[in-house]
Amino acid sequence: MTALLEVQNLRLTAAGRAIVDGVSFQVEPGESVAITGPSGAGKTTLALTVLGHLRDGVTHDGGQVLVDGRPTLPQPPPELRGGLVGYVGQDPGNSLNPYARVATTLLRVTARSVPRPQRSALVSELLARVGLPTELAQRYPHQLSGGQQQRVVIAAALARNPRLLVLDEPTTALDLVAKAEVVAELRRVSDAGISLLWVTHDLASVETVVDRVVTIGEPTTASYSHAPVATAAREVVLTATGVTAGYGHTSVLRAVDLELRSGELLAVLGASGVGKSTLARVLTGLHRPASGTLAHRGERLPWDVRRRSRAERAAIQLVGQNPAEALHPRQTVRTALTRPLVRLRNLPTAEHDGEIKLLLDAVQLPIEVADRLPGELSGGMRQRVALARALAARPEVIVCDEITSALDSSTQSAILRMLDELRAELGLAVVLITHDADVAASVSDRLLVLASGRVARTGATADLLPPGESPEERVRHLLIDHTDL
Amino acid sequence: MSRLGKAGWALFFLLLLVILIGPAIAPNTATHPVGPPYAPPSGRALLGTDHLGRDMLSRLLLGGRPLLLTSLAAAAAGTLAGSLTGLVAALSRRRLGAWLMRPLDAITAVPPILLLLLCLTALPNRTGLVIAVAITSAPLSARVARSAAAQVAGRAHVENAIARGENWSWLLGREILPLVAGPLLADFGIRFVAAVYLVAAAGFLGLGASDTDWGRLIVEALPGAALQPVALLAPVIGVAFLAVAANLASDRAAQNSRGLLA
Repeated sequence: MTALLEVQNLRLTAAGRAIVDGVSFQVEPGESVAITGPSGAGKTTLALTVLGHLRDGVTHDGGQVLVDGRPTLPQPPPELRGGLVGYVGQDPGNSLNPYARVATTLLRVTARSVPRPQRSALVSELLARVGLPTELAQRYPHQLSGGQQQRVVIAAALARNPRLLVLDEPTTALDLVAKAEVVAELRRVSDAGISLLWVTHDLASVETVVDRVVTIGEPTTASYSHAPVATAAREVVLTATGVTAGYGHTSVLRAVDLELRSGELLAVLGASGVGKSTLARVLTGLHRPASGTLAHRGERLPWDVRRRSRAERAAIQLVGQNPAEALHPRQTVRTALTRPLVRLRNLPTAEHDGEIKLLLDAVQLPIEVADRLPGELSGGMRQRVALARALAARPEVIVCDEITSALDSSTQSAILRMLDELRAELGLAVVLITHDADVAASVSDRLLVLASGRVARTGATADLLPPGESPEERVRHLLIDHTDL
Repeated sequence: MSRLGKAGWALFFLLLLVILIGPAIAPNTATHPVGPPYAPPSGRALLGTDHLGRDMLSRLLLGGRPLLLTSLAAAAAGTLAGSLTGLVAALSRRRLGAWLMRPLDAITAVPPILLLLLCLTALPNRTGLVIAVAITSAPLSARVARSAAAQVAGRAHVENAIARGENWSWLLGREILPLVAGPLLADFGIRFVAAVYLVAAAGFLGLGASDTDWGRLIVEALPGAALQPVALLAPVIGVAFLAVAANLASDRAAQNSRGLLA
């Protein structure tokens, strides 16, 4: 029997540098294989060659990828994409057409005309295959949770009965409840005899599903945890009381109270859609809440950032979720770092160069980065630049909204370690917004668990997530316990 | 660069050159008769003569520059005013944006020719023509600019700049404009072509940019089109060429905007 997928000594280069250098492996029919490696190791590039696609600037430099005995490079066989091989990408939000209902999307991918009376039955069947109720068929993607969106994408990939499913980090962008949902669904897919090729940097969550693991690039295992510091004696820098916020008539946050002391790391934990990002935007003055008050060192702060004074604006800084959008694509790192120095600290021009060097040092980037454009930097480097830009304002509080969710585990722990050092050196208070219970457990002093827009639990991390137990399990219990409140 | 793009640029620059130095190389004056009316092309008049026996080639060369400059000025003024309004509307809060855009929408409802006649009745000179054409094109530019900018206005780096307290000129000029320059340049090309048509139409109605306006040449050549078709075809082809070349050039500029502004 021939292997379903056979990668033979594949070499791919970009800009004269080998991205994938002599990788060989096989996937037998019905077998599930995980591909893992550090970020930049070429995992996604490799996965896309299975579909016969080379990313811009990537050249095929030897070796071959055979699916069912037929080569996919340079041109895949016509029935390969969507037929023999299905693909599920990282971000379900990018995969689904925001203007098409779920039913429309699913019918379109079947690529054949279905008589009108049979359509709803077919859509129900496709949804049932990924454990979703028929009612979702008439919804638009934005009316679904992240986990449901990703399951719809999987349903679409399965619509034409592929024999191999290529999964590119299908759970990375999801919170832990959605992640468990999607992993369980994929296990069922695998049990049904469909082969999986699962690209991931988070091996722990897939090891129950896959049969084998292929590691490419240099293996790295790094995780980071810190010793919690006693915070009781420190002064309160930020107090938010009764924050109720929403969009239009939908309220997202209900009566949220929050207190932050200097040098403290408060993790805000919750599933996607509970209003974590809204909380970050409210605190930094980018979204005006319906009610509630905010005080900085006892002084009342206006909600709208445009009404805050220069010192107040500098005191609270936001580092956002998406490193691709955080920096202006046409502005060099130097410009990005200079503006806060000018606008928020009024620093004379002569001192800019020295300060930029200090800032880049603080986030462990070489000074040469200053003259590069964001497009020339990796995701992890951009996130460090975004952090440096926040530090340039000399803030007292940094609100970090999922800053590590788009990064691989080694970059993630490097960024978290850096946050910790900055906290120790500068007495910075950090609000770390995350869906990852492991991250929250390893770095935070205090924890605030949000569920359906309310504070479900709050307290010292050591009490809520005692060491020795799986933080992910604990949080799931905390969240489930809360739902009957 | 694609072959078509290259040809577009070459055509555009050649035409620009001919139009700009046209008045200097015209063999005769615009008013001096050189032969019988509606004479076919000959050695003395390469494109023949018009209804008064004047040299068509000279009239064509003399009329190009006013047409081009008037259209260019009108398109530039319209695109500038429109884009600025659109960008401000995209960046400001929803209610202010609506206040800025609604009056412009009202202008779009008035037919351009009616606006042209109204403006030229009040101000019957070239300034009036420029103002009329600019007013008709500004609302459309504003819509294009607003929707292009709305897509980037919510990006994290723009919000960061707002939170940093940057002023309007930084927000518009440095955060937004570099990302929407491509669509705006393409839009400018379209507005220029529309301006050429309107200015030529004004000439056709006898309200043109000059006595030898290409639109006016067309209307004058119409009665004798059967006797002297070249006198009609020459200005028509001139207008068409200018429009096509301007579109090709603006496409090219839009593709290159990354390189131009990086």
